[in-house]
Amino acid sequence: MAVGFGGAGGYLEMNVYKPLMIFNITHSMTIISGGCTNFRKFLIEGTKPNLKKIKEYVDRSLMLVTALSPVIGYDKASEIAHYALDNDLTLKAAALKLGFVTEEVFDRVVDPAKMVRPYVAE
Amino acid sequence: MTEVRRETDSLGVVEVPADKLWGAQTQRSLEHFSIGHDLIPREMITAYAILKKAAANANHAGGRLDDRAHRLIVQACDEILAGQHHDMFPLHVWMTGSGTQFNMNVNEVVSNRCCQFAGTALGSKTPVHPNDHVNMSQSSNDSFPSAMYIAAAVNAKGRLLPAVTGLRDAIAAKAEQWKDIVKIGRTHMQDATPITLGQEWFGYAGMLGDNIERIEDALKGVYRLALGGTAVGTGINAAPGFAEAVAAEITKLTGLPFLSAPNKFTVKGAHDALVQLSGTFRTLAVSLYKIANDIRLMSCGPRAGFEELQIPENEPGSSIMPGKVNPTQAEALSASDGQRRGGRLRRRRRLSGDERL
Repeated sequence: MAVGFGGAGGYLEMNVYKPLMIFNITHSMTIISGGCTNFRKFLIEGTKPNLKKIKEYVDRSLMLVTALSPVIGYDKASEIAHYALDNDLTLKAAALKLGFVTEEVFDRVVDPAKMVRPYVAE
Repeated sequence: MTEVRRETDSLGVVEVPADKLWGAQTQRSLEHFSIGHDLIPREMITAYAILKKAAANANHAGGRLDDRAHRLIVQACDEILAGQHHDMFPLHVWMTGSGTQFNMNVNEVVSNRCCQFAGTALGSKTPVHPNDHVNMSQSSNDSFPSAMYIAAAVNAKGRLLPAVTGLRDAIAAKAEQWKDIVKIGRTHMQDATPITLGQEWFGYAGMLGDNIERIEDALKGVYRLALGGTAVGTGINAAPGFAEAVAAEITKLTGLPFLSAPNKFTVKGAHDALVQLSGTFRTLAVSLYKIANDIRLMSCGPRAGFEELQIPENEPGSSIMPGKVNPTQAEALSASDGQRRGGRLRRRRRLSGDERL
């Protein structure tokens, strides 16, 4: 902001906000450099994943249903997700209850590990 | 009562504290512009010492500066570059918009230090005159912008980019380590299709890589120096060839690819290269803010939050709640980003894209 204001302050042959500009530029560099270094040393390097929690969320996720869309269509897949949520069921239980897929197809298609790269189920 | 000595400039006599190396014009500025606590950035002292040494080398090589004056100026500049005399630059940011008084502060300190080397009286301007010798072939209007560009480039290359690169690399190392950990993705802060923790962090590393590229690109403009253009860009009182010679000296002293700006009028009337560089800092701050926010969200807990990440226990987080640990590093980083971006921008919520959105 301030540097833009300063930069806009050039009349004819000279800018008259030079101290303002370099003050803000050096200040920015100082706080961003220090911020990045501390953030790396005291946060990033010591951060660990909570594998148990991460797996729990994936296992309970309703959006895994997305992988079923190419197989049974968006509308039926959507119905499974809503049904699972409304009745507090797992995605798989809801899918089987509604009879849209067999267990074999569900297990083959709804695989989180496959879903993290370009993938269209058949 | 502080002891004083008499220094002179074109307006007459000024009393300066006897133990200071600055002269009359610095003293006048101190009296007229003691606004606030912010001093001209210390980075400018070093940048100006590089510049004055480079100018002395170029003028000496061109036969305009005699051996003795050259040797003394270089000796004084080398002391400043070694970290000495920085307390002799007391001027405030909120001064003349051209920075003239700071340029004269440098000229006066170098001149007076040369007096000490030569055994002459402080303020005698002999054997090295602040204007005729230290400021030879220069105007504040080409030296101050050039010193700003030197300060900006040297600190961007020497401090900022290494810090950002270090953070980028640390995040990339985690991304590699976590490349097979499948987790839930989130858009609109709601559950989405899966992603790996590594992919998520690979995204952060990429953001920082892009920022490094932006800063490097912006520096290309910052390397173009105004020196040699003197007062209005025409080059009056600068010898032919000085512009190129001094830029080459500055390149030699800094190891950075400075060059004489092909268009001196452009880099004197405007400092768009610094505005652009500053813009890249703003983009970087926005990126860091997003990364810090994501980590705050993912580490939210430890029993009633997302709890996907466990952050280091750096310090006790509460004076009343025992055992509390907070994402203070993310807070400090985002606060400094907020400072960088300015108060008005802080309220633009669109700048903070939480998680996948």
